Amino acid sequence: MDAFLKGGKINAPEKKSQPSDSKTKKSKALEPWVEKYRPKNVDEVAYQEEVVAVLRKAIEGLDLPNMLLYGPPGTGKTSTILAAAKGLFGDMYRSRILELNSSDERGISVVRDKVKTFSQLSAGGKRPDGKPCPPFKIVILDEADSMTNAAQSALRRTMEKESKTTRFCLICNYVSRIIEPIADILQRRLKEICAKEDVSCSDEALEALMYTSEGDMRKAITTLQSASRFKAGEEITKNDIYEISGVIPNDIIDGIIVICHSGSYEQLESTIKDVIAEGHAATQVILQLHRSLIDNDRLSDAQKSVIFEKLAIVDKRLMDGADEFLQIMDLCSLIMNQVCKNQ
Amino acid sequence: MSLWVDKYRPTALGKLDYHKEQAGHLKKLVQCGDFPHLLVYGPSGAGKKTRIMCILRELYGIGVEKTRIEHQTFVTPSKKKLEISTVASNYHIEVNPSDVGVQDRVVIQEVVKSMAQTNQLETSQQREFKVLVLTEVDRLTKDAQHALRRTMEKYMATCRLILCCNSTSKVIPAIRSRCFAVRVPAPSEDQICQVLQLVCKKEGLNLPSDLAKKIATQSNRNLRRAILMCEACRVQQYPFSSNQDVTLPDWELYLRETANMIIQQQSPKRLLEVRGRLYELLSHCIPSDVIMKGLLQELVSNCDGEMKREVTQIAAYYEHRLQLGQKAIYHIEAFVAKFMSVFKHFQEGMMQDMDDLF
Amino acid sequence: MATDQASSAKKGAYRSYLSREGPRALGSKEIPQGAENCLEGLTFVITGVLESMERSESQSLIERYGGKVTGSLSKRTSYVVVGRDAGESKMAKANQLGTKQLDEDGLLDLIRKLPGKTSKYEIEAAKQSQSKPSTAKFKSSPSLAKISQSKMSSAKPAAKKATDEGSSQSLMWVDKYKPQTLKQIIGQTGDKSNARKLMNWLQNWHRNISSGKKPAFNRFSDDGSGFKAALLSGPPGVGKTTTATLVCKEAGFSFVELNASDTRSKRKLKDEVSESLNNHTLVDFFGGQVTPSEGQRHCLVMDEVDGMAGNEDRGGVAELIQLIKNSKIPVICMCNDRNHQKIRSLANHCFDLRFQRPRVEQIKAAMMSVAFKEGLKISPPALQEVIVAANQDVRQIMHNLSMWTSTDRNLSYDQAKSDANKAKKDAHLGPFDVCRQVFAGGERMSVIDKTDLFFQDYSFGPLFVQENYPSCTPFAARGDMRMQMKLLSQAADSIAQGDLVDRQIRSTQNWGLLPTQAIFSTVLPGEAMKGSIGQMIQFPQWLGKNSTRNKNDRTLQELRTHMGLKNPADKHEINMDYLPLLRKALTQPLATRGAEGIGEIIQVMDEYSLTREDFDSLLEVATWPNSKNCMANVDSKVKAAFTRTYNKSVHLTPYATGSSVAKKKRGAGGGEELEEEEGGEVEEEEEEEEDITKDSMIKLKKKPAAKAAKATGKGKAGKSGSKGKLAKKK
Repeated sequence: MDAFLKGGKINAPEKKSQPSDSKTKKSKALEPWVEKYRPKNVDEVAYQEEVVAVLRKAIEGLDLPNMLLYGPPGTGKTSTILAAAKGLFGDMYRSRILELNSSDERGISVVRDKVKTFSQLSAGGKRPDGKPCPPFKIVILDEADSMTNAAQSALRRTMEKESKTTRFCLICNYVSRIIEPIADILQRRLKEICAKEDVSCSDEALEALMYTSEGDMRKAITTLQSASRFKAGEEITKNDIYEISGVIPNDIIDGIIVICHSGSYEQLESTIKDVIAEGHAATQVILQLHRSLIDNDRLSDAQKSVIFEKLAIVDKRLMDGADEFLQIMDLCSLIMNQVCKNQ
Repeated sequence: MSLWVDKYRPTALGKLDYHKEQAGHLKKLVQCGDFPHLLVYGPSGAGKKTRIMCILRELYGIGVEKTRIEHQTFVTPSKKKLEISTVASNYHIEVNPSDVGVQDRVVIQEVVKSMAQTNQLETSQQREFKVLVLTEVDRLTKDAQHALRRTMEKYMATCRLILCCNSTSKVIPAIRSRCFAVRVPAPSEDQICQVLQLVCKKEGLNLPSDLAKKIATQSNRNLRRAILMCEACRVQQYPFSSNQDVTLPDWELYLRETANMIIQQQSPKRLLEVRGRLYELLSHCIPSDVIMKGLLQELVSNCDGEMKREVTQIAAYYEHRLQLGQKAIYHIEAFVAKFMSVFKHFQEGMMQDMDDLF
Repeated sequence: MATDQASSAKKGAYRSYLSREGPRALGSKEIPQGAENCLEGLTFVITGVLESMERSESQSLIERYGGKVTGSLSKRTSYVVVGRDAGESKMAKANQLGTKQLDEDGLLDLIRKLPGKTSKYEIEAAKQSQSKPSTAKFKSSPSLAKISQSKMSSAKPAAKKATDEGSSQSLMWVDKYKPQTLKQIIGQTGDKSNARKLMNWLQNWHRNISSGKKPAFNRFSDDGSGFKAALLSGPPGVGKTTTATLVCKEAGFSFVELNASDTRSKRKLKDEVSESLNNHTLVDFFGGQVTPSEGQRHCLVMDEVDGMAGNEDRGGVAELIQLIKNSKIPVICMCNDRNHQKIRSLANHCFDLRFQRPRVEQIKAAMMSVAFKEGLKISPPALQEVIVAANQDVRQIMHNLSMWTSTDRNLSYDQAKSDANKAKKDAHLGPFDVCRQVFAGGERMSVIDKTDLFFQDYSFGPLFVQENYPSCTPFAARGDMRMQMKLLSQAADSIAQGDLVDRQIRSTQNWGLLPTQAIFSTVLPGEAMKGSIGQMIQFPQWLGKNSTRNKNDRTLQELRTHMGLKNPADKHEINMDYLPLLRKALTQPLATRGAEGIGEIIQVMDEYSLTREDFDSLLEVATWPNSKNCMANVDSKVKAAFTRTYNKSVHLTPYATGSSVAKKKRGAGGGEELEEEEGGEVEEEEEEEEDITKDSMIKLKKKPAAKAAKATGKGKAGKSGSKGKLAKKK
């Protein structure tokens, strides 16, 4: 947790590029908190004990295998590997690391030119200050799952061939729901950031933050930062968090379900129209409908399965760019049908 | 002499007619100096662009209203020339990358790059960043959205993005999480009435509240449409009478007639006639989802009970495929044919073999 | 009253014909193996639907055994084969003539029972081959035209034959049996034939032209006198080129031929062709203005003029017309498609000769002689199959024959039929025919066959299917409207599905999905709507509508750009919300107040930076079939006055007028517009530089300090210029 105390230091290398002092000050203010509070060494990585233990061993032994890190977004994959690299190489870690993420050009040509030339360079076994350091470099490929197939296969050969001088670290998103205990740590962390940044935030709002971020640390911190700017000094409330993260207030969702029970198509139509007019995103609507229906005791399992099947279909259609109004109407009229059967 | 809707457009955050609380927050956001990327979303005619312009003005002062139109050319990696026109002031530039279709990625990369690589002069007096306004972000290809996400981080120091879209459903989560999302809900009917009254007062006209109410209802909570309709009423007849007809746009009437034709008769011949009308709508550039929604609304009002759900389901099914496909007419026609078939079944009381249709 | 009944009965019959179902029990009966040629000399008429086979099947069955099938009854008809729903008139006539009636089983029995005969053709052939060695000089009948005299003689002596065969083997049959004289051309032997007409025209050309005869635009004066050029048109393989060359030869003209392999652009034609045309005039001149002697006459043959297309041959047709106008020698043009857009303009200047396909009999005779020459045994019915399969294209028939017989010199009927069927598939069908076949319920086609229909033209075919499927009356519905709508919906569904596949194919270049698309967009709709097409096959509207849509889309885009400074709506919002009102606002004052309204309108237009062209296009896009024409009430004088007034005053637009390529920009700042106009010009140049020097700018970025210094140096100058532009100036 002393990451925060050292927080300012992380920016040190970046400062060089800024010509004047005044600018540094401003850019510091502009820096996303996510970057500001990124862990600096392996031990600071939150709630990844197993991984951390393995990595710590690797650093002691001055060796690192090729790695594939996967997990839900915002659980610290990038942070982990960056921290490990810093542990291995110390100050010279910048020259030893090639980091490419999906927004960089990562076609086959890049793999062939950039990655290959980088990996073919050999590296010395000593730091400038005489300490030993491993004689290899690390290529970090963030969001490797979005690489083109051609690039991935081009990478394969390079990985085998250059294993002497280069280690590869692939990071990809593996989306699944996050396990509970992490929430604890997340909350503690958020509180610390609040204290550090002098932001007042009610406990209720923190709860909401936990709920909306679903364990995604990055999302939680970003939301917190946005909220603090938006309110500029005032206390952040639950509704602010909901508003900023695009979560629909529960009474609207409940309203939809009540209307479904009424069995009136016309009412349903006008309600859905209003929801859309309020600017709420359809994906969010079905996400929250899902949450509220899954615990609904008035529906039998068979009914739920019918509804959730439709829900999945509608979600897919929305991903394909289908019209929001029509899709939600489709879903809700089915819910209405199922509910009314029950009565 | 411009149309009312442009004449009385508010230009400052303080002068906005509704969502005043939000305006206050936005003002604070601008003042605190630390300005994030914005994602402004909300339905059509809710006032997104108006708010964006107000924010820009808050940021840079009056100079931002001195805009010009620029044509820019880009060359794609495959050596294809793209042309796009932008609206720009000295402080901001507004681009609609979806104008160039599938090549929007190139536009985003080039525009952002060329803009981000120029610094503002005299940062002491001005903001040290410029603003890039991207409209219709939800129409961007996935490729372009991914390109955008990187550029958002990379050029944070010199430029800010304001993204504008109708719905965040079609914006990838990566962008959503990097932006400060501002939801602009459509004004309620009361709010629309107020605005209409205000506009009419400024024009020196007397607007009966019944008519205002009527217009507000017809406009579907779309303020732009409401004001335009109001002015259309003025052109048609003044002084207003409270039982005056609110003229709908021609395309909407045409769409309704088409739907009624489907209800009246179900035959292959009718299908061909409907096809002709659908072609007419499409060739007038009425978006296909608007057509689907319009048809559904009319058709459903002529069905009852179980049929309503049935028809809604069919419409949702075909509208989805329409988005995936290439030729919109095929899918709308398939929808109409399906409806005709189902409706005929229904009418002839053949509900028992309804199941083998689906 | 009686006639009324009759006509209504007739109508009823026709209606039942339309919804007549196909055979119900296809292939249910065993087709017997009869003796060879057992039906020889018998004539059949088939009426109604036979239950176990398609009409064409039964027909070919009869033909296979040497029988003949005719369409209508006559005294010579030996049997009438009667099926379900037989035609009433035929039955009546059959009763009247007392023709023997058979049902389906009767026909099969007949085949089973009748004894075989030796074909009379074979007897004849045997006779001929017997007589062959004895006859020293083989005389060919004039109808066996395609064989040249010289080749004839080569066929006779056995000793010579071997050597001849060696040399002729290397020639393709088409060249080997190429007509050598005008008389040998199939179907061009008569007095009124095109060849004869062309001959006359050519021979009289110089006389007609020098006498200054004007072309008579009269259908009946068909000697073409007065025209300087002739246009031969017709399907491939009917002998247009052959006719032209032979006519030239026989009329004593030498000729220059240009065909699709030569570039025929405007300039090329001008340089090369007109030169050769001028040559002649000189000779003519020195010839002392008498009719040129035989050797000096020449003409120009332009083959395949409809192939003058694309960039290469730009302006070719127009130039050709010019050439024809000034020509001093005859020009003969040839094309396949007389109704092609480009050819139509050419046809006005030409003596129009249209070639038809020769009749089957004409070809058959010639082909029989060729077959005989090549020592190929083929029965006339078999040959007929071959001819019909090749669509009466003489050239293709020769090729097909030559190919099939390269292994076996004996071609039986069955063989010919199956081979011909193969050839049929190779024949290219137009999209109209494809579409008709997709829905034609009559023929028994496998899925593969139907898929092949799709592959005839996979980009056009689906469009045709989509356009025409609702006009089909499906058999399966049996006149039930509810059922028909269901089928219709099924067809529409699968067409829509086909579109999804199409999208996949085009966006991912996954051409392997084409067969899938074939199933969805051709086979399934065809199957669902299998029935009779009530009307003509329509050309797909989609193409036209789509281009209208694109045009309107561009217009809207332009309007949005022009109005961009004033309002922030996107083009759909402009289209749906703004345009209805703008249209009213721009026309109402003209309609109600006439000329007085002009000023007001121009004000609005200036406010939104609209040009006069925008005004028109705006009205066009915003006009719907159900809306009344706003400009109808406007006096034409007012319209003219409006245009005048608009043009009189200067309108400053913040964008480039005309094409967007010419980048003319004007500063649109409030108040200082006039001064800025020149500044705007400068800016524009800078703008262009910016694009080019993008790379150098990236480098500049790396030394921001230096740049900043330079930029501030010039900072005052560029009030409106961004820093990037300034930095680049130095």
